[in-house]
Amino acid sequence: MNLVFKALSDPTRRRVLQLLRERPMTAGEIAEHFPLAKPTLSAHFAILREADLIEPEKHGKNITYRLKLSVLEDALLSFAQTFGIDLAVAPLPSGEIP
Amino acid sequence: MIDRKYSRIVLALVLVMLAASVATVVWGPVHGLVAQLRTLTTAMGALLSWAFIWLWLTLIVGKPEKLEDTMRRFVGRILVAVTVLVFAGNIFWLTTMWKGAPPISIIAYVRLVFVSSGLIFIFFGNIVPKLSYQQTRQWIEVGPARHHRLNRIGGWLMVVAGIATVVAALALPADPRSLVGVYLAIAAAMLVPYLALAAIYVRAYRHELQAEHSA
Repeated sequence: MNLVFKALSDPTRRRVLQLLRERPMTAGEIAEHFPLAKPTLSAHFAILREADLIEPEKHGKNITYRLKLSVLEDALLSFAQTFGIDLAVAPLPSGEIP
Repeated sequence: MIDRKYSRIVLALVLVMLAASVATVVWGPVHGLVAQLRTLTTAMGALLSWAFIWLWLTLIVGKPEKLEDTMRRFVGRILVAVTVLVFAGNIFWLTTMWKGAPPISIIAYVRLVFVSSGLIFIFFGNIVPKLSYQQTRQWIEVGPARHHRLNRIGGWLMVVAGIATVVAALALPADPRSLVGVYLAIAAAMLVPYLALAAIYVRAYRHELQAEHSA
């Protein structure tokens, strides 16, 4: 559960989950929504995968990510959104991953 | 399906529970019509809980081929373990009914069964949206995207139904028949929209397949 809280504590990762709620997306499609370097975004994906919140599927050369939230995790994410937690993309000044 | 062997074990236990409950109602030392009705509704309510869970997990979740899927195996084992526990409890309770000295009252038993059913609904409902896609039987195949959407909606419905079942079991007056009635209403409120949506998705998937073939 710590991994889930860690993953949901960051606005960029929550935004990724929000995007994946609409439909499964490739890493490239998700990257279009963020002014972040590829390695930074990959690190966010790794944290989300580690928390088992997203699932990568290989389609040829592309990796498509899909949401893999339990009902509780889904509710936590909705809670974070509903109560006005800032979901705007706000990377740390140093670019490091929280 | 979770795994054919898991679902068969669960089905076998549910059928034995059903037979034992009916035998107790028909031949057991139950006195008076009201008592018989109560026993019958209690037994049916308890069994229906498990029949619903079995139906849901065996028909909806997927096919058993991919045994390497640890999540699926985990869910299957938990399902069997919980069913065995309920089976043992049910048989113990029915046996004591035969002897004429049940350890707890009928209403306490009904509340216990419904609270456990509600908790199980919450547990499985929470997990269902996380299960990965697997091709299932042709007549209920909906494709990966709809499968995930359906599992997400199904999971939420199951969790809400579970919470409602627990609240109803603890808060409603001590009447087994009203409790069973409320339980059936909750189960119907959970299953009807889910099955309706599943039917719509199955039709849409078939139309897509036909369009692909004719193109």
